[in-house]
Amino acid sequence: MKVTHSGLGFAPELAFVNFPVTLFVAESDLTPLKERIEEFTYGLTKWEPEVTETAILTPPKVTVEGKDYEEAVANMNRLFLRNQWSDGVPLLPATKERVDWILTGTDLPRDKEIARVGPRGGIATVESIAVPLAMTGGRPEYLPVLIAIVEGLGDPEFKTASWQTTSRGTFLVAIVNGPIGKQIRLSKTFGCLGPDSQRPAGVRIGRAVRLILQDMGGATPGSGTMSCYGPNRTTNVVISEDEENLPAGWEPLNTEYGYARGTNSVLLNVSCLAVNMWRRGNYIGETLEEEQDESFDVVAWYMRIPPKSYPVEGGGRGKGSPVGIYLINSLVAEQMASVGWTKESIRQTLWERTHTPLAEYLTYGREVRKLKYDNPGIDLATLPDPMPMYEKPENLLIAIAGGRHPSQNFWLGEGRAVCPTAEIQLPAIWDQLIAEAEEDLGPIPIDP
Amino acid sequence: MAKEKEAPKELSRREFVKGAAVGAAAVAGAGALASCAAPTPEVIKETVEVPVEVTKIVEVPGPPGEAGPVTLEVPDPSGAFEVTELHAPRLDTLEGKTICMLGNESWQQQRTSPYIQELLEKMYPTATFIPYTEFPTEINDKKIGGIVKDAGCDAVIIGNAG
Repeated sequence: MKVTHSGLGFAPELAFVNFPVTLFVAESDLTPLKERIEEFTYGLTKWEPEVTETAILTPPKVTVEGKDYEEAVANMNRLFLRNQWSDGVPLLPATKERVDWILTGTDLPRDKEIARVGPRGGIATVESIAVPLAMTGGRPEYLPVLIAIVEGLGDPEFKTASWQTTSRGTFLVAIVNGPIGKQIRLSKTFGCLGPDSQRPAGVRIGRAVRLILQDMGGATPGSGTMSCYGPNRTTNVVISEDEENLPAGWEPLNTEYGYARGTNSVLLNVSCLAVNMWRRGNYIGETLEEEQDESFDVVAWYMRIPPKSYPVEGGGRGKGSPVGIYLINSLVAEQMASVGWTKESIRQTLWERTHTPLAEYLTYGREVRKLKYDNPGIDLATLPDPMPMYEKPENLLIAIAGGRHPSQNFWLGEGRAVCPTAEIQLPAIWDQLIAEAEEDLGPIPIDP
Repeated sequence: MAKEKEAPKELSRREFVKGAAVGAAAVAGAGALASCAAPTPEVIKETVEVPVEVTKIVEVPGPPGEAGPVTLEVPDPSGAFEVTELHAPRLDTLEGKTICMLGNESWQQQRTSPYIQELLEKMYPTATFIPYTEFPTEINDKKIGGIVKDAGCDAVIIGNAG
């Protein structure tokens, strides 16, 4: 609560009465309110804030000692754990030398403000963004992507404070387009949502994102964020679209948001679902065309769960909301394209096949209750049959990524209504940074 | 930042084996020269491993290795924060004041908010209460401040956080 209050511009202090969550569930015992009613009076008449002037509060640097370097780093990690600044995995010290090295990845001034990260409202400057990247073992060439991601986090329409504090299992998804993906070794094929020694950029950027969301944004589990499970938050999802292997006629994701093909950009969304979809046919005589068509039955089945509030005028959680990002690996995309499928026809087909018979929909008590609440007097008999599960085909995002294998697709579901995008700005010494990366890490790996 | 560099002299175990093999070859050569003076042939029974893999030793950025106490100075990763809003002065009493109940219609507010109001009404009978149903539910919107001022609220109770 203090964290959310900070996002409104107050110091992180507040007159509040804190109750266990059991008070706030259906048919709860309200006796604790009566027992502690004096605390409400106290908050309105006696409580006094410590901060009495407006100001920018900049924390001092932290000094950590040890009998040698190893012990000093261990002590730093202990301190970060105690202060809830860590993600639980060991961090590197963000020394001035290391941070300055990371900052060679941008021409922006180090004190330039990029965003205020909700719910806490911490100020993310170029330099303060470089700090977590230094701690997660990042490199200068990763910084432009991270800055663009943080720019998106600051988009008011993205409501970062809201999806950070929710009890839902939200995690950030960033899809990078343009040549930068290959240049900095972002994952885009086999194992792209997980660890990869040859392609460490995504997990290191994604982990820095997590530290920003927690330390500047205040999303500490159980206080700043009430996510019951907090899945995929250690590294989030930071991948590149497999633009090199797009089927003929298929354009990169960022072209759908106004960027020219070849532009370095990032698209953000939030997901609650990360589901592998075994979409392949069973190979008992089906043609390639039949296999592709039938795979959409399987994919639609995954995408229908859980149901969304029906998007009628004036209400419904699903209204206008992207339902998620459908990841198709480039081999499957080639197969689909070879028998005539396009992104548009896939979207249309999946929208239609996710429709639910009205009789089944009306058995979803939670959804019907919400529908009636948002639309007083609504006549359920006038609802369409079958019911669409989301407003329109365009709500589904399609990105080409994943290992080139015919069997699997992936579903990053329950997305947000707004997908911020940002162009990635490169420094003048970009070519030098990429050359140094090649010297340090070896040649850019060839995707299998 | 320290860059990864090749260590010019350090030998891996395999390179050490390679070096030992060169040494063995030199001994064999000496034996061959000796054989010119003494015709008895010498048979070398030792099998020499021929290295096929070159191990590259790199120096990675890391501990400087200095002896004695080390002090690290690192930033607080929570960064700066701007206080733009200040809390209103507290009231001396709730008697005779207008108390406004605000909420986002979540977490049983339809039960908790009226009950809090009921309890306070008994404690402060001269106070006026405006129920949460009279206000918008977007309590995070900065416009809410103006709305409660226009309503004549002297104090506000907001809930429920979840």
